[in-house]
Amino acid sequence: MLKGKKMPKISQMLRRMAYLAASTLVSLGSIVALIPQSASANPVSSRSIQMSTSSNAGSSATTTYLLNFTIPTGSSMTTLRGIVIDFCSNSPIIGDTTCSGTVGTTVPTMSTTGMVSGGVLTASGWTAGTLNANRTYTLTNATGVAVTAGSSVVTLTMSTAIQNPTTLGTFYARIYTYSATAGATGYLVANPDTGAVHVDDGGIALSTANQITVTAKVQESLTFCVYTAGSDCAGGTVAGISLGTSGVLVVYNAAYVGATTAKIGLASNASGGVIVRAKNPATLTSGAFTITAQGNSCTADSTTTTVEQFGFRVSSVGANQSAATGIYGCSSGQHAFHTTNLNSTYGDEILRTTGAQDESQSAIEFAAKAATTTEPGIYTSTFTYIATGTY
Amino acid sequence: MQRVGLKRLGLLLTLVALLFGGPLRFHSQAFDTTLPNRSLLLSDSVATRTGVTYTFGFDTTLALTIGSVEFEICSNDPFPGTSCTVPPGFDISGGLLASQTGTSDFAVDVPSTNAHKLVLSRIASAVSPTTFSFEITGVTNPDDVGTEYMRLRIFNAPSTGGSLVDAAGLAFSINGDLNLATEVPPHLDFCVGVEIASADCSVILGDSVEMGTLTTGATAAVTSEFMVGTNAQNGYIVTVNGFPLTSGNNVITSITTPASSAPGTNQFGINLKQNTVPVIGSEPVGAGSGTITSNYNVPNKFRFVSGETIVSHPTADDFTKFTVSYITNIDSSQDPGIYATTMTYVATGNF
Repeated sequence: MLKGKKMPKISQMLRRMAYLAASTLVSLGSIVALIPQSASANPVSSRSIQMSTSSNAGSSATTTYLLNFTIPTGSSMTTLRGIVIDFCSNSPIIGDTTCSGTVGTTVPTMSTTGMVSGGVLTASGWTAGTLNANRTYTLTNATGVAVTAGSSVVTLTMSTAIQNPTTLGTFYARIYTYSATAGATGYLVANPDTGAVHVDDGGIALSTANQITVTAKVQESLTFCVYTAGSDCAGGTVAGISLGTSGVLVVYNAAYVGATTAKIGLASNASGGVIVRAKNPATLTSGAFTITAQGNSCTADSTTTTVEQFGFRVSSVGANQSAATGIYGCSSGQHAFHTTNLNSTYGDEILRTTGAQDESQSAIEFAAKAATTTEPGIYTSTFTYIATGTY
Repeated sequence: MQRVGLKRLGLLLTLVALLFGGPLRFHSQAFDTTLPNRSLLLSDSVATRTGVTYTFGFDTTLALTIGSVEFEICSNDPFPGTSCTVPPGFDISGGLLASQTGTSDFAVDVPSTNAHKLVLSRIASAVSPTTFSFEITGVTNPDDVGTEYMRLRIFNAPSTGGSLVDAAGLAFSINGDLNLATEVPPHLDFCVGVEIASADCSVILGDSVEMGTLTTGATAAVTSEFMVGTNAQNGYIVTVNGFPLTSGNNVITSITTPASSAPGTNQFGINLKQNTVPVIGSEPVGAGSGTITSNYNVPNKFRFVSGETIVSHPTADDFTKFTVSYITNIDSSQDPGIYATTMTYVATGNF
């Protein structure tokens, strides 16, 4: 039963397909009969139009079209004197008597007629022009250039200021070649052979498309740390620093027994660099007593019993960092402590970078020395470090 | 059935494509900013610190119509217009605009300002490219140590109204203090010897002096040294303690009133001066300024009373090295014998 029902449907389908094929052949035959064709025209081979952008942005009248094709094998063309490239929205079919499209909207605007030639077009004498309200690009040369069927390549940069169609989608170009300039200048869509019979032809499809916007964010970054143990900001830990021998200043004629260091890690993508400032409201202090600050600039460490000193220096400078010259960038055996600057609103600069940099480490060496008469007591001092990036 | 299913799937895909088939973008609000040299200067970077001054700075490279500027502090990222993770503890709501450059007519927009966001407003107008800075006082730093971010947005109307003109961000860092400590212990450095070389208590030479054979016609004289220094705030004293030269029950009498050396009489005395009769002794040397007690501070005059203070200083004093001169004279009736004594010097610091 099932087979019996299917068989009539298959036969019906076959019959319908036969009718469709027959009607299609008839229709195509009719169309072909209506299209004017050059009797010996061959399709130009290896034809392409390379667009510098597929953007449909209306303001992008900066597009360049690079046309390439080869004089086809079997072509009767011996001297090329004219080329027409007609842009249409409806079809690339050579001989289609209609070329629809609105210039600038569905087909490009050949707003200027500049050209840069290549291949066989390197000979001088070529003149670019437009037809059909800038829809059609023409190229003529009364002298022409000799070409060889099957091998001569035509390369043409049509303009550097073409505006792509603003409507997204496919549009077409129809290429015609002429052995007489009148063929190009007299070109009509209804009959491309109005001025002269074209020799070869071909159609090309092009398309505008959305652009993909890819956005990636790189955020402003600043890695800054102060630590006393470890090797970098990730693993560094901070603890209080004890100065002297086991935390005691006992040798009065020695320069800085037990000087101690802290590390500063710094990394940033700040293009203007980073400045590290130190703040300290007071030198080493014990109640009403203080250990004298070493000086406003690099000052030699004393070895006399009458002198007490407290200061610091940048004892090693990380890659791409620089110490404040003349004050905290002291050489060994010198330290400084600019009381006024360190107690100012934003502190005193000790380090800086000139631009973005990976993490590097600088070392700060603190040193204190008591005099014989330095008042006994436990002395403390607190540093605050402030990093400021300029982005 | 399968064909129907495929058709439906195709329709579904088509619908999805139509709905979402627009431009493919990985997009967030980002600006090709015209605000270079952005910085945030802190007067204190320590977490939880109050009363901190924040100075925001940036440049404009184009003429912009500016009505308000928003500074927002976030913990997650510096991208303006995205969700903000408010840093715990941070508070700029009470911030005061202490100074400004670039323009002079911004004021804190209190209704638009909250704990983590400060808005400055002005009557909107075009501002030529310039350098802006705004010093805000009375800010409380975030509770947590680490990187924080500031987001800057400029609007063309007051109170962040109108349109967004430009935006940018930056990073800054909150840290802890670095504490330094050391101890200066109370100290009284005191040493005694026949000689203290180079004024260094670590180099003491000898602890015994020989005055030789005493005669009635000449004064026997020798010296010893001591050095003292302290950080005792109330200074120090040094006393001399001992007996006159003694041999069994025989004693060479001490000088109890300062007197010159008189050969042929019984005398034992000391002083701490450079003498000419006899030629013995030296003036004190060193960075200190200890004072010799008057009874022992006259050249050529000698005295010895056990327990007397011979040197003192009222405050902390650096090291001073003193030379003690001993003289002995005998008369003809002095019993023979070997005379000796032990002198003990005691330094006391008054801290």
